[in-house]
Amino acid sequence: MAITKKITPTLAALTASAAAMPGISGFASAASPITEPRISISTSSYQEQAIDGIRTTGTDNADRYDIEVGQFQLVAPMGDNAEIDFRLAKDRMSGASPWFVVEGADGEPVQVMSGATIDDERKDASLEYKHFNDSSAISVILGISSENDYLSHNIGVVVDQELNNNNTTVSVGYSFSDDNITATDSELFFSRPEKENKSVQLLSLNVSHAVNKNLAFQTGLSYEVQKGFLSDPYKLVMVNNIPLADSRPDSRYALIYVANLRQYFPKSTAALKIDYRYYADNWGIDSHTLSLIWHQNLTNNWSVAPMVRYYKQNEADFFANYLVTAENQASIHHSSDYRLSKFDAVSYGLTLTKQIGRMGIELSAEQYESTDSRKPGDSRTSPGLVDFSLVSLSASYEF
Amino acid sequence: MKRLIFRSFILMVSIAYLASCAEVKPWQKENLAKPEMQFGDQTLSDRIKSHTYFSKESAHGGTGSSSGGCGCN
Repeated sequence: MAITKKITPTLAALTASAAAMPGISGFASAASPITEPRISISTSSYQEQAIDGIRTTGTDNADRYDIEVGQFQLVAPMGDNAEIDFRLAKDRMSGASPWFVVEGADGEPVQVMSGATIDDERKDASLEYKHFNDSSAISVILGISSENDYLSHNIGVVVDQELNNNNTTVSVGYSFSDDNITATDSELFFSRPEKENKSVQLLSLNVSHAVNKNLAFQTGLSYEVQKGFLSDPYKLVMVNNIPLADSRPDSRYALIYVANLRQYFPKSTAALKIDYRYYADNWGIDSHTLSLIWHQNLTNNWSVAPMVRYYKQNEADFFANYLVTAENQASIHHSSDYRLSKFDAVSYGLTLTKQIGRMGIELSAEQYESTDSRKPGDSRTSPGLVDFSLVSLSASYEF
Repeated sequence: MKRLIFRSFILMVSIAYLASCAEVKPWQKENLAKPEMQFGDQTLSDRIKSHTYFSKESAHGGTGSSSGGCGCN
């Protein structure tokens, strides 16, 4: 655990959040640097379940995505007033992906998959330097993410300021990401651009507060601006039975509000974690996310944490499974991407941890299920919604 | 969206006001300092969960991490 140099260490509990975004990862201690280096490694297996009744192209293998993920993290002190956080991640992805949607024999939409043609690798690295002053801290984060068709560079800055005798932390963060997309097989598919670019900027303001000795609350507001090529180069939309490229607006403005609560129960040696998020953007998407975790400490340094998470979104203004329209009335923007459709999802999981001296071991499993509540004729929901499982095994060692 | 910004701002100001009313002493913060009481992604498995949600849902943000990448497919 962090030992304070100038500020109470417990304000680490109240570090302000920054919205999820490349370049902002600032949730580490706002109050004081760590005193001992810590190394963590993790391996994860992600598996998507097949969709009933899908069509594929040229192959019977319609298995959706499988991803194997390896992660490494080193957190180390840098002198008395600073620390670094270095992270590496490598993903190995394979499987089939939703491609476009056609009208089935019964008039209902049917998802067409790409076939098991995708085999890709993602490498991700980030380095955060955090400097601590008497009652504030500043973090600078640099990151890079690389795939064979995607390259992202990002930078972020987060400033934390403690107020009210260290019971309140105000945090302001900004990040910028510059992404280049080079679609594979662009010479074979007319719909795939050879080279495109997009940028993402995020500004966030967060306030965390210790309400009493067992209760902490956090709230935050973020504003995100995306510019450039925001379409998916690999997806198509059937318009009057003609496949057209996925086409989305070249700008997206999003507002994200979060409200999080942590309540500790001393008699039960347990903690309740409640996280809520509201998201809205100018593509017409509104979303609510609520997650609950009960963290129960057990004897012999064991702990168990069941979780449940509910997610809900409505469809983007330009989402359509497929379009049948008069030629001169076809809209400029259209996408059949299931992630832009209306859906809700429930996930549940369990995390088991064991501390053995300086080493911690964690096993985590989660099942995510999209709710198939689509009524016949409902064009707002995609037939390609995803269910998946995610299992992670992690270990960390503090020197 | 303007209404949401206004409400969020009012909530933040309210919290700042409440912050001036109550004070938790340093020696009372033992429980607040426990790992399970922290906000945001704390472990590598938290991080990969956030990245997965980012890849499969339209809404994103608010967890403190996700790392980069296109999140396609």
